Amino acid sequence: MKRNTKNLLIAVTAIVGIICIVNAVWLIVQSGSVAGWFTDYRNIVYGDGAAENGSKIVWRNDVLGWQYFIFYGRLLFGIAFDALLLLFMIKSILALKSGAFFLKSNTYILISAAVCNLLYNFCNENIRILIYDTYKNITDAMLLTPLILFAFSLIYGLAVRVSEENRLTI
Amino acid sequence: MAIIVNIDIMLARRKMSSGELAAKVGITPANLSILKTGKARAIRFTTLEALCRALDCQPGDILEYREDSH
Repeated sequence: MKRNTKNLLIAVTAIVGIICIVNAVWLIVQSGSVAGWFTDYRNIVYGDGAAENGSKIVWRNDVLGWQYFIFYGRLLFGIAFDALLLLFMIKSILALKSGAFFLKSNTYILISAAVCNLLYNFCNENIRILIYDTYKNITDAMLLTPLILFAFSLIYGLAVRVSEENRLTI
Repeated sequence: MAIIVNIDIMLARRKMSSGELAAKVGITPANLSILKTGKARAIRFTTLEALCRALDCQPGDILEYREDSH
C-alpha cells in the first residue's frame, strides 16, 4: 500500500477513534442524566425529544419491558457500535504491518456493527417511550445505515476471499 | 484436491533442500511450503517455469492429477 494511503488511513482511524470515544461518553452522560444516575445534563444533551419537557424517565408498568429495552439498548448498542467501529479501524491498521489487509474477522465485526446499529437506531427512534409515548416506530431511516454497513460487510467478505486466493497463488 | 504437487519427490531425486530450491526459484520458503503441502490455490506459469528450470524436469514431473475418491 502506498505511504500516502497508509498515512490517510491512520489519520481517518484517529478521527474515527475520537468520534467514537466522544459519542460513547455522550451516550453515557445522556442516559445517566435522564435516568437520574448523576448530575443532570438533560437540557443540554438530550435532543431527541425525550427530555424536551425536562422530565426524567417515567417508568410505566404497561410499557416497562419496552422502556428497559429502549433505555439500556440505546446505551449498550450505541457503545458497542462505537467500540466495533474502532476495533475495525485498529485491526485494519495493524493488518497493514503483516501485509494481509483484508481480515476475515473484520467481516464479522462489520456484520456485528450493522446489527448493533440497527438496534441502536430502533431504540433511538423510539426514545419518547421513556417519557410519554407508547408507540413503537420502525422507519426507513433506521434501516438505511445498517443495510449499507451490511452491504459493505458482504463486499468486504468478497475482498477477503479474493485476497486469500491471491495470497495462495504461488 | 485432485492435483498433487510432487515437489518433495523431485527434491529427493535431485538431492536438493527446500531452502536451496526456494532460493533458486526466487520464492520464500513459506510459499514453497504452501506449494508442497497442497494448500496453494494456483500456480503461476512463471513459478512453474522457474521450478522446472531449477529441478531440471517437466511440469508433469511436478504436478499430477489424481481423481478424488469421494
